[in-house]
Amino acid sequence: MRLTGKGLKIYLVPAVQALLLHLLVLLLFLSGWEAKSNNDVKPLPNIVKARVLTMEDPIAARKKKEEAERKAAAKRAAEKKKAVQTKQKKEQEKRKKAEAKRKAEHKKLAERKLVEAKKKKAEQQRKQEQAKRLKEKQQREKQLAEQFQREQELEMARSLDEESQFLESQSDMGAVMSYVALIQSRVIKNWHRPLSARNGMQVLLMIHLVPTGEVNNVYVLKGSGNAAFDRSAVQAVQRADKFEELQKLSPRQFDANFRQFKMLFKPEDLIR
Amino acid sequence: MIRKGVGIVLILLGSIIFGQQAAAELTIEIAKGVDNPTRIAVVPFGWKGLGGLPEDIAQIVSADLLRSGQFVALDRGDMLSLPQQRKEVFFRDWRVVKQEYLLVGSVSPSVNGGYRIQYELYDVYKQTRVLGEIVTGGLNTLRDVAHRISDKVYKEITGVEGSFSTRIVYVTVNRQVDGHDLFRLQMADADGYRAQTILESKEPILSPDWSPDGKKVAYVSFESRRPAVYIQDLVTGQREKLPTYRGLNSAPSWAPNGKKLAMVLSRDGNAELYTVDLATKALTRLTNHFGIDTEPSWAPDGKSLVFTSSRGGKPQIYRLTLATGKVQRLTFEGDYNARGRLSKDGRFLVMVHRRNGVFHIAVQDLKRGDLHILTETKLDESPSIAPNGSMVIYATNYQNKGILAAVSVDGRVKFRLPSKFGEVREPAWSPF
Repeated sequence: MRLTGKGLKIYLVPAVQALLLHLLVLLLFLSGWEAKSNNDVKPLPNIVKARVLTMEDPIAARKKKEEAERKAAAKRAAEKKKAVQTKQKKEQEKRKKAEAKRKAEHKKLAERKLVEAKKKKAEQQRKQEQAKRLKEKQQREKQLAEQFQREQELEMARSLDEESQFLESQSDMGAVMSYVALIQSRVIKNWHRPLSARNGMQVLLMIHLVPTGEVNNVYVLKGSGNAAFDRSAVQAVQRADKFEELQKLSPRQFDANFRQFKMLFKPEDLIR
Repeated sequence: MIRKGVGIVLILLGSIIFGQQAAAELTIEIAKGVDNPTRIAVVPFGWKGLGGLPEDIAQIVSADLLRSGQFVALDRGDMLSLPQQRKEVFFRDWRVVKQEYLLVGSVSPSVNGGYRIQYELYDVYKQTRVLGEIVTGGLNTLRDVAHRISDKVYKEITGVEGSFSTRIVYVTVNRQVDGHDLFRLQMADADGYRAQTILESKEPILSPDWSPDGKKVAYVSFESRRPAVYIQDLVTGQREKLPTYRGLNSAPSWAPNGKKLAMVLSRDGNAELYTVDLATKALTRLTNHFGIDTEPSWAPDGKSLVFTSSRGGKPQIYRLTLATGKVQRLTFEGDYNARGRLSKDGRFLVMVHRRNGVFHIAVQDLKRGDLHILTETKLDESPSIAPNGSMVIYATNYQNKGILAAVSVDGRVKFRLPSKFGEVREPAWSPF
């Protein structure tokens, strides 16, 4: 068959499709398709509990409030001053006028003066009341702020308490973990696996210690089915004999963790 | 406006321990160990008869255990006491010298002129008896009794069948005064003692192989000036010569069911593997390749054979699956791997491996694929695995003399076997 222009065109679409597919495959290979590494990372056996406490600084809050109050008071004082000034001016003018009219209106003036005084007194009273109200308000606010601060402090104390508890348990756990590591390493050193031991075998022992760190009792809780293997585990503990370092633990810590505990023997390093 | 906030983040880390503290107690996991040999004190057995004992049973037992690589026996000089029975045992004495096990026993004459042997094995830490037995033996079977005690102790402590009561066959070569070589096929205890001659010939004897029931041995003998495969009954001494063919007749290997032998014939010009049916003597050709195929050895399940072939250019070990006839190469490390033998579980392939021009015994883990060189000596050859899979016996050169040596499969323990004779070659370890 001869390939004419038309004939080629027939193959063009599939050819382009094929090319695109190949490119896609190539792209996939180049980019994402790496073999997933099969790292046998053990998850950390830690349960993480997080608690977030956010709190405002009570002092800052108080300052803020006070600042606002101070500003408001200053503003009020300025306004008052201005009012007094204009008032004085007016009074001066009035006095001038009154001087001129004094003789004629002497009586009237006296009456007016009386009214003026009365007015002034009322004004003063009003101002006093205003000041008193302001003071009360301030006091109330101060009380509120104090209450708020007290609450904040309480909350703070509570969280500090939690933190110290946490730190205490943390040090407790650290101690326990370090003794666990010590027991582990000593038992490992004393564990001579028999020839029939295989990776995957398991024997669970119960171990009773006395506070001197001595092994009081060891027995098999759940055997592997291989008597030689089970015995080798029991012997490893008996051969380790004494964990005298445990004497450093507090009685509470000892009782909580080491008076009796389980030990799982599960070889993973055997070549067979 | 300044907004200042202080954030305190508390992370409460609860470990497994604290997470579960309330619910369950601590569980410590032990995933490793050191696998030091077990420490055992084998106290000299008491003797309640007159005169001396012909065999020191405790000595044989402790030598057996020591050779296995799984044990260290306490020196007699370090024993604080020499108890012969439970009431004389003070466990503290043995804890002080760090012993894990204690074997005590005594021998007394029995009425029929034999011996009555009583022994007990104690767990020193637990202070309990783990084994105890009374056995009888005659003058000539005291070594057998000792090996049987070793087997029992070994089984109890390691969980693996002991192979101290098994035997080995091997070939010795001695230059005679007349300048000729004298070849002997010998059989001895696994510890090399009590060797006896099965066959003597002025012509070479090669490739002995045990029948699966341990009653017969097949080997190649040139006594008729041409190589031929013989089968000899070890009890009656009766021999049978298999039909011979032109060219090579070599490397017999008994099938696990005992009914066939695999062997190498070159009757068609090239060394190929065959099986011969022992009842009908019918031949079946297994391989057909222009390379040399030799040294067949059966897998314990009888479904395949491993063999050495030069089909890849250099000698390497291959596996032939009988059902399919498929051949698969097993060894890839080094330019020379030969005489493969599979362990009873089929997992380990023991072979002669050449590295830097030196021949070693090596073991390849067929599951993991890694190869370990077990021996550091030169000219190591003819490995044969103990029936319990724990040791490999092989021929090597020591002080310019061919001797037998054994190595534990983990490479930890090596020892040389005693031999009165000159050159020793081609050991084969018996089945149980």
